[in-house]
Amino acid sequence: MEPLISVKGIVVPLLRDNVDTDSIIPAEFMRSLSTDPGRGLFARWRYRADGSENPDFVLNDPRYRGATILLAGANFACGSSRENAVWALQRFGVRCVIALGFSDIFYANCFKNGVLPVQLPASAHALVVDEALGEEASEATVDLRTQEIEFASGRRIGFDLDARRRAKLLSGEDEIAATLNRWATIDSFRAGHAQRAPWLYLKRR
Amino acid sequence: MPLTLFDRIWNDHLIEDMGDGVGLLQIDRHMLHEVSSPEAFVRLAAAGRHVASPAQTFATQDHILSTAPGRTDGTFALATEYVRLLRSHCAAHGIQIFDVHDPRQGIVHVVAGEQGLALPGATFVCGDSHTATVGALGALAWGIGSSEVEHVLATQTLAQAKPAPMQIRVDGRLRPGVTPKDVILGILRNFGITAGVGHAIEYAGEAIRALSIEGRMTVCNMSIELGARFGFVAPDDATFDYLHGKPYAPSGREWEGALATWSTLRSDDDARFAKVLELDASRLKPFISWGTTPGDIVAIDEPIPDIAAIAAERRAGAKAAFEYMGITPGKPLEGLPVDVVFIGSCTNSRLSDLRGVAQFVKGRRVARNVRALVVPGSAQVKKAAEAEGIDAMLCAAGFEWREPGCSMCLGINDDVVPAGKRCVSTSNRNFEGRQGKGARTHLASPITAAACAIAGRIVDAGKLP
Repeated sequence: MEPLISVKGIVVPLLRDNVDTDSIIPAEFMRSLSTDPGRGLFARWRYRADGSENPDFVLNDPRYRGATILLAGANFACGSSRENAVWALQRFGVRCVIALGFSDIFYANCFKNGVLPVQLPASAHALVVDEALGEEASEATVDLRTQEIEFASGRRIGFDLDARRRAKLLSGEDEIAATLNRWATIDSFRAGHAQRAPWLYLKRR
Repeated sequence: MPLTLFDRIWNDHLIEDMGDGVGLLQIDRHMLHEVSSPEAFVRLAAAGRHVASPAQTFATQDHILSTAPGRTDGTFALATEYVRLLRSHCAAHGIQIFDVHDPRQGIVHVVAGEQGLALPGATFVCGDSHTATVGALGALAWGIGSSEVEHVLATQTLAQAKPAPMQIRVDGRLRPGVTPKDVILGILRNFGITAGVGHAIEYAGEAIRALSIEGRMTVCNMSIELGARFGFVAPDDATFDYLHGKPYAPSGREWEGALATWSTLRSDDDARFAKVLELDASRLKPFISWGTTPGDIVAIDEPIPDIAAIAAERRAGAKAAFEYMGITPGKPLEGLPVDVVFIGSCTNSRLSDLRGVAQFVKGRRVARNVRALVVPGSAQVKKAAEAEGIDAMLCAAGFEWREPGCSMCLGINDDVVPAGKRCVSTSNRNFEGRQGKGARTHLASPITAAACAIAGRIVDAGKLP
């Protein structure tokens, strides 16, 4: 996985609560493996019936073109476990989502793909909203090393992230390789577990 | 130290504490379906890795596969790619697949119960958010993303953040006409769609205990709609009776050993939960969703909320939902014309669901202008229903009887609700566009859905002549 150190760029505000992963990428954009998931990002809102861009949707606002940071509301990406939701954001160019809260599955999926989910308490979130909702688009740098969001205005807002997840993003660790390196521990665990619960260890038919 | 059932199963599978609340867990059963697995297999191959425990891995075709009668791989043309990839990946890695024409094929969470793949005290994962369905059997079952699918394929383990144990108690007795679906819709109505975020839910109490295993599956199924990846019920005699003789459940002396272990699987009386929520079963009614989140629930005979009754911070969302759904705040849903009725999905497609519907529609007919589909959850459910004449009764009443699969629950194949049309659905999500672009979904129980199909409008099943 590509390491993530910091994300710099335009912050696009999408401040509705409970945005579900069906809205992030509708099922019809998952009907072929060759479909670019970035095309399906927020498709219901982003395109009009004739397939043209909906000028009223924030991602189509010229001010926010090329945004790399998505500012969301509460309970972002609830619903389906589809990792395509992260892939869609990533392919579109978003590498960081700031929200009041995330669904558990989406939150976990982000870290597998080098996308940084930043969860903020209401007071800090309000400051980011204040910066992002100006006349002009605001630029920010979200730095994983300092755990700060720094706006062009100079305002800095800190965020929490557990040390393990932070380290994984910074190093771009191959998690499967790391687990495979623990094979001796896993094997010895299994030997004991198979004695306790032999019925869980099916034989190959 | 007193333990919750969740802690007990977690500890029993904990290979290593990785710090920061993350545990490396042994995974006992892994199920795959055609839509969330191909990327995992491709990356596995690219890294030169193999499947660590093929004997503990199973697959079925359900999500995009057509449900049209007589369907094949390519009846829905775009399904072909996914269906054939899953088949070839399973063949290459020696994974048991319940393929398109296999008598065991079906929706992953239906098959997992029928085949005895999900077991009490076992860890069970699948690349699908409704995996907690089989928590009804006392398994620790949860939905994962495609990268996690790859991790489980490669290692038969998963590094998982430990959720906080939580209990939802439903005590008292359900009133006649109130179904397991109404229990979980009632829970959603009372506690909302974020009540379970970061938590693992144990459902307990007299009313949960009184549910059949299939009913418990319906409840556990929608744990993710509460925000929880994990939802389960402690196993009891009903669980053991259900599992006895299932193809992949232990048998003979192993069954006796398993039973001895399974009988110890419960939360200690003085175990501490991070959160306990309680609900009185006798107050539950037949419910239906009105909006575009599964927390937007009313009793069928109640008006939907008025703008003024909605908290200020939720008002914008509610207004958008009223508009999208084409409904008037403060008015009841009863009487609204219905275009489509969908009876199926991992929430409500089991034999007990279909029996109830067949009994209800006996001597009645689906209203003109309503398209009503019944999609059995598995080939086994379909066969059993046909043996009882359920298909004939439903077809005589004007329902379509289809092949097993996820179908109109998620609208990834051609089972979609047309834009602007209103659908009463026994599935689990009423998000904007979930069942098709512009589709208006009302979640309800199979009996309510059947009643709406007959009446051609939203109606309380108890009021139908």
